[in-house]
Amino acid sequence: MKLNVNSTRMELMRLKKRLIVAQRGHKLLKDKQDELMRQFMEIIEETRTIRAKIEKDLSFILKRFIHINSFMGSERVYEALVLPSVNIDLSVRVISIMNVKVPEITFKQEGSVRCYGYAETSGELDLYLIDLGRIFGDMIRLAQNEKRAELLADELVKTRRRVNALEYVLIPNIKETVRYITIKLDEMERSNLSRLMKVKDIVRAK
Amino acid sequence: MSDSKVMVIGDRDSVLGFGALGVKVKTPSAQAEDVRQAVKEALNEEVAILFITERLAQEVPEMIKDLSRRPLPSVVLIPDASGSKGMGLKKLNEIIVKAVGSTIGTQDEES
Repeated sequence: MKLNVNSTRMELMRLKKRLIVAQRGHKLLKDKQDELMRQFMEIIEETRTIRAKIEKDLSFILKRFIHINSFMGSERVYEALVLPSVNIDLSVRVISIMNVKVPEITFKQEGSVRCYGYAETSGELDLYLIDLGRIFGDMIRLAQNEKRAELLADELVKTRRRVNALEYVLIPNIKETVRYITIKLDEMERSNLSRLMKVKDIVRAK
Repeated sequence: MSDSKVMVIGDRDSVLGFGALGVKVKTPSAQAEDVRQAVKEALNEEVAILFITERLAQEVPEMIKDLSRRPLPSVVLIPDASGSKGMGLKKLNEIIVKAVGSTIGTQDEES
């Protein structure tokens, strides 16, 4: 579609400048999109692996809790777990990937997971908590990665839309308009020339 | 201890064990209203990571969706003791579809 501008030399110069800017912008955005995509795929690969592992292991581990519960009685289990001796020190920093703000989550676990006496609890509970503690690190990592993937995906969508708008709308429009103005100016030039020739003929015929 | 910024929401049988890891645990009933209340409380306490079991997440899909647009908290669906429903993987795939425009096959899917 032709832009709605006057067909003048001024406008032509202006449009040509705009075209250069648009093309440079398009190239930059395209590069950004490629790099975002690369980062995104890296995160997705890692997240997939962790997710698959958690899907497999976590429900299995959690299932064991039901056994423990029925073995020890829910009151005693509750008593054993209600006062944790572990302190989770979670720090969330915001880092920037391709200028997208994403969280970086690190955590430290202090203290033992066994926050109860051995007398009243079953050995299964110990094992259960050890396994749970082991998978917990993965879960934190998953939380971080899924959030990153989500935020990057948003940015990717935005960037793709901009790239497409430049590539398929703005740049072709400007090109078409430049062509139109050039043709129109040429045409005016020719009509002017032929008018002059005609005038000259008339003058000479007198 | 009280400032640990991780919270787990799920049914009692599945998530009580996380309490021993120093994580805050909330065990609402499976009613949509209760779950919503629990998630709201989690937001008020400004948790950074919110683990929620798939079963309960099902009750409040619109909240989960809303939270995914913010930088924090990070909401993660986890399977519960009764097994995985595959919602977590589905969510991951949705993200990929959104970003790439198509799914990327893995070994177990058609590629």
